[in-house]
Amino acid sequence: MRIERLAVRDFRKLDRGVEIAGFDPAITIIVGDNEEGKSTLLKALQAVFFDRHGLTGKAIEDMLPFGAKGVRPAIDVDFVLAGALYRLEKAFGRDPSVSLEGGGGRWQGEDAEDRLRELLGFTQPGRGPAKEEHRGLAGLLWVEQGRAFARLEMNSDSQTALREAIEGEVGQVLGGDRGRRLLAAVKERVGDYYTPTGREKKTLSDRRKRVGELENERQTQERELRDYDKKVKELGDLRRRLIRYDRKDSLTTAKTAMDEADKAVRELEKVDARVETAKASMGGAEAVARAAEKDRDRRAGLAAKASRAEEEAREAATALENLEPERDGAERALTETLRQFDKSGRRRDEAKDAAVSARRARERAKTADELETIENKLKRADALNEKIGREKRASAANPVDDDVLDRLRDLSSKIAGAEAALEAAAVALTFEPEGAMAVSLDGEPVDTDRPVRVTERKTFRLQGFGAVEVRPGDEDIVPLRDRLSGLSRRLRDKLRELGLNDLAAAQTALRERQRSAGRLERLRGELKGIAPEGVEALRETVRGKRESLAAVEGGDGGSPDIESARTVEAEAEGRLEDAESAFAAALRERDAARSAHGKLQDEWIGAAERRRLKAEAADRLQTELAQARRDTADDVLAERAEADRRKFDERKAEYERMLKERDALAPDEVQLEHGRARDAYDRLKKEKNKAERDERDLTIELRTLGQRGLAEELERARGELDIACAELAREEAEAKAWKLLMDTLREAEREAKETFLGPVRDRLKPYLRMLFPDTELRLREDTLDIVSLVRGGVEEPFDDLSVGAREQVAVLTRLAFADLLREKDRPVALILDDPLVNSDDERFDRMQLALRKAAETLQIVVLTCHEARYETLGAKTVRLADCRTGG
Amino acid sequence: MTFRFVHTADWQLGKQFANIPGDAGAALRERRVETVKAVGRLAAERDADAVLVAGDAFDANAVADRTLTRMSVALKEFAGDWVFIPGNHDPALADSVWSRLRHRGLSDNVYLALELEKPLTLAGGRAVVLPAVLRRRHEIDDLTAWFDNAETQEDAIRIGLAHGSVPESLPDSSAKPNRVPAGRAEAARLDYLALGDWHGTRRINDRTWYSGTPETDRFTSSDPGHALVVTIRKPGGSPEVEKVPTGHFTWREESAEVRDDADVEALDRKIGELAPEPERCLLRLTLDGAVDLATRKRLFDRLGDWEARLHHLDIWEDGLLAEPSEDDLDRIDRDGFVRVAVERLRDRARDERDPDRAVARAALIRLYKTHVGTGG
Repeated sequence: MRIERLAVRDFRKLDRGVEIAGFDPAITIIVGDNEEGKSTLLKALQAVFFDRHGLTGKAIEDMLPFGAKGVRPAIDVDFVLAGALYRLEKAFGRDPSVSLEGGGGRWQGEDAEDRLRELLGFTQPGRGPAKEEHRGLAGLLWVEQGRAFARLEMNSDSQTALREAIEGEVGQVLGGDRGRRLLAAVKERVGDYYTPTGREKKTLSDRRKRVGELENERQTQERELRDYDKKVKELGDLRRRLIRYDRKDSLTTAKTAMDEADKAVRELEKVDARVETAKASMGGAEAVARAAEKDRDRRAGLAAKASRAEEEAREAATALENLEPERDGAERALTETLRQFDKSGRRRDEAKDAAVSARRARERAKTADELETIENKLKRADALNEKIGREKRASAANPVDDDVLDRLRDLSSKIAGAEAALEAAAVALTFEPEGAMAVSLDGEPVDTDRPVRVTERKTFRLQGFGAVEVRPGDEDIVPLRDRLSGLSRRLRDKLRELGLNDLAAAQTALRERQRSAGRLERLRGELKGIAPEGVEALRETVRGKRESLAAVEGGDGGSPDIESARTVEAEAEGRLEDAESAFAAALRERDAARSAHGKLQDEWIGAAERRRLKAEAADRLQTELAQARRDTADDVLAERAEADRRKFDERKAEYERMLKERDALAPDEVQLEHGRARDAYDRLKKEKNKAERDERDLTIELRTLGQRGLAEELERARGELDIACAELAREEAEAKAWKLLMDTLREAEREAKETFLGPVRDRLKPYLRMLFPDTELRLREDTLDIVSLVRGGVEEPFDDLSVGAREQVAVLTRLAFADLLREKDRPVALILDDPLVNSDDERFDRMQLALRKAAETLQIVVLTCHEARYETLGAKTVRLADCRTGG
Repeated sequence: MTFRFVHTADWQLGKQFANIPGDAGAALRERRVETVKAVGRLAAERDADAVLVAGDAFDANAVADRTLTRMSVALKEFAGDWVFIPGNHDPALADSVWSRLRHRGLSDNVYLALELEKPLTLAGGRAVVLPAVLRRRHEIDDLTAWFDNAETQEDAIRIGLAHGSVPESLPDSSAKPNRVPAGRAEAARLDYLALGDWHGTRRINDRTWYSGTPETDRFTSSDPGHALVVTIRKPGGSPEVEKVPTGHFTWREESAEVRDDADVEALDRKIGELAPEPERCLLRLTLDGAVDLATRKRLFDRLGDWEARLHHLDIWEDGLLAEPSEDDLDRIDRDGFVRVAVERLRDRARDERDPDRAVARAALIRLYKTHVGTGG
């Protein structure tokens, strides 16, 4: 389809009429400013092709220019379709009309509308204006302003047309409704068995669980039945055993054996009792014999002991006698050393007294010497003190210090300032007398070589002329003058007060004051060196020394010189030292003599005591022995011991004979046999009782167990398990079958979708490569809308793309669709109202290339207010302003 | 002098039929006691002197008391003598149904032959029963050996009563325990040897018979479902043996090859013939052949009807190959992805190396059904 010419009158914004002739078969750019009506052109095209001419009501009102009344919106369009040129004229509102002419035919009114529908393939609404879904392929390919970046959301006519175009190439690969229904039904069946994530549902898991439970139940029952069978067998065994017991009469046999063993044991016990009696008798005899031997031995011991004691008493007496002469010698030596000790003590005391007297004499001499030195110091200190007093008085008489001098200097400099100020304010008079003419002031000649400054009224006398009175400006100069005189007066008064003539005298006085202070400092330092504690302290020291000397002198009057006193003292000390060492030696000797005497004295006392004790012991033992012998003689004791020993030997022989008699009975064997026979009988009896008891218990237990019908229960459990297993297997097979069916269907469907979208992909590829190299566009195979862009394996949903990318992708997709449709001779033309406004320059340039490529076979009309942007496209440009027709 | 008795065995009371689910299994359980009553009624109708039960009256020793009680009640249908011996299912162990029955107390007309080698005199001495008593499940010794030397009154009819297999006369029984020689009746001068253990009615020789179970309890080719009414006119006389049907349910095994709709129709007719009273029939059907999906669907629709009508229908269809035809495939879809999927599944179903071959086949069958279900 190609639009050739468009004329619009009284339609919305285009109230003045517009006619655009000569649309380019490739690209036409229609440029118009905002509000100029370029978008209205698109509305006009939509209206002329798709709105019924007989529209009424609000739809017509919307078509009328603003505020216009009684006009008739009219749109004419020339277009080429399948090689034939058509002219379509439509007028709306009052007296509506439509005519279509072309391809060798002419149609009016509804016929024209029908023919149009036939040519373009769209569905008109029952009533009201045509909407997007009523505009056939134009709904997809004519893009209104601000819609370029949205999803395609194409109408069903477009979908059908595209689907037919695709199927024209790949055949009916999709299953259509039937396929979808089938897949949905299969999915539902799979859903009976599996969750969407592939986990088993209760249909399977419950059955599996049930099988597990039944398996457990079966095992439990098998176990119970086994137990039952085992017990039945046990009962049979027990009964057979009981029968055996009865048949063999084993219990009676065991009883007899036990009774015989009992009898043997009793026999053995009798012999044992006799052995014990003999043993006891032997024990008694042994004790008696031992006692007699003991008496005999004790007597012998006592005799030996008494004779030993007598010997010891004799030895002690001899020792005492030997010790006596030695002890007397020691006593005499002690007396001599005591006498020597007293004598050396006296000598030492005398030497001590002499040394004390010599020390005192030396101390007195030293004190007198010191007193003389201090008295000299005191004299010098008093003289210095006198000098200091004089210097202090002189300094106090000088009134000038640093402060005073500073104040005077300040005044003096202020006066200089005031003089300078006055000088500056003064009138300067320069006299230039002729010849030797003179000038005088107050009778004094004036030096005419330099200017004269006048600060107050003055009268100059000029020789040869007379008097000239000069009066400087009073108001300026008077305060200056007053200040100067005030200051001068203050200086004079101050100097007078200080008794000075001038400032120089003040400076001299200050220097004198500073020198006097230096002298005073030096004198004080000197005094400090002689009397650091002060003169009065020194004087006190002198007084103290004098008193102490007077006190010592009180002893013997007169004081020797210090050197001779020292010599006398050293000699006295030497004598004292000798006396001390002599005394110490005497002391040592006295102590040694005392110790030797004490030791001998102790030894003698010990020996005397020992002699006494030994003598007493010997007496006592002799007395005891004599008494014992009087009671029983020694030989009597010896005979008795011999007799008792013989008796014991007899008893022992008797006991040994009894032991032999018992051993002959083999007591161990008798006991073993007794134990065996008793145990055998007991065990047999117990076992029989137990077997009888067990038999009773088992009989009752089995009767109860049997009632339960374990075999029936087990068979039932087995049957249920078989059924449950079969059901599970059936359901599992069912589930697997449905799952495989679903998977196979899905896989086939996925492949079908791939195949189905192949033609679109092929058309899209060259366009995409221009803007988005190495990407793939994913479309829904049912609505054919854009799903996502896949870049480097990463899928980006369409809605997540930038606005710019979205409009580019959407335009490219339309180009591809248009290519596909045009190839199938569908009426396609692309109209874009200000698209790509969100694209950057680089992308915009690439899009221009894409548009140019599409335009090789497709008519493209771009409506825009951005003329400059399209200048580089190399397309025909039409300015709306140039197309006005009426007015 | 005539002595008439009903020879029966293998009642297997307490058998659960637990692998037959639901009401069908329960009905089979209930039926066994009913059949005992039928045997009692038969004895009463034929004015028999006794009923001899040749072992396995119970399916196991560990059956519930309820089962014992129900049997005791059933025995009241016949006031003559009932003689029981233990079988390999209910041997006279230390504890058994027999010890329990004895403990509970029995009617005077019920004899439990539990002692070894002890003849039992019936009908005032007209007949003597020599019982072989199994005191364990499997007996190596021949428990009927003592019959040869058992002393009985000259004028008494000698009847042996035993439970075991006659190796010479039964298939696959050479290795079985509890053997009974085929010549025992002759060797022991028995007028009749009443045997139990084999569930079909079977004549070993003129004087030796298996009565079989009175109510079939499995799919078998032997001839179960009868009791024998035996009349012996005098000692040494030939026994007159009448085989009387007592079974309520018939158990049928049938196999069929199905390839097309004609086979489906033929099978339908055949089942109709096999089960004139479908509600009393249990059928095990083994299917073979190969069918397309449409035929398969028709076949199973038909079998579904039978399943509802028969007491129980057990279908073994492993041998039936469902092979989708081009028509089947076209019916599902001629093009589109469904067709692709169908062809893939068919290829997998045909591929003998594919481990999921059977799954693919099942998937195809389900796809076909779903296609029909979704109105395709």
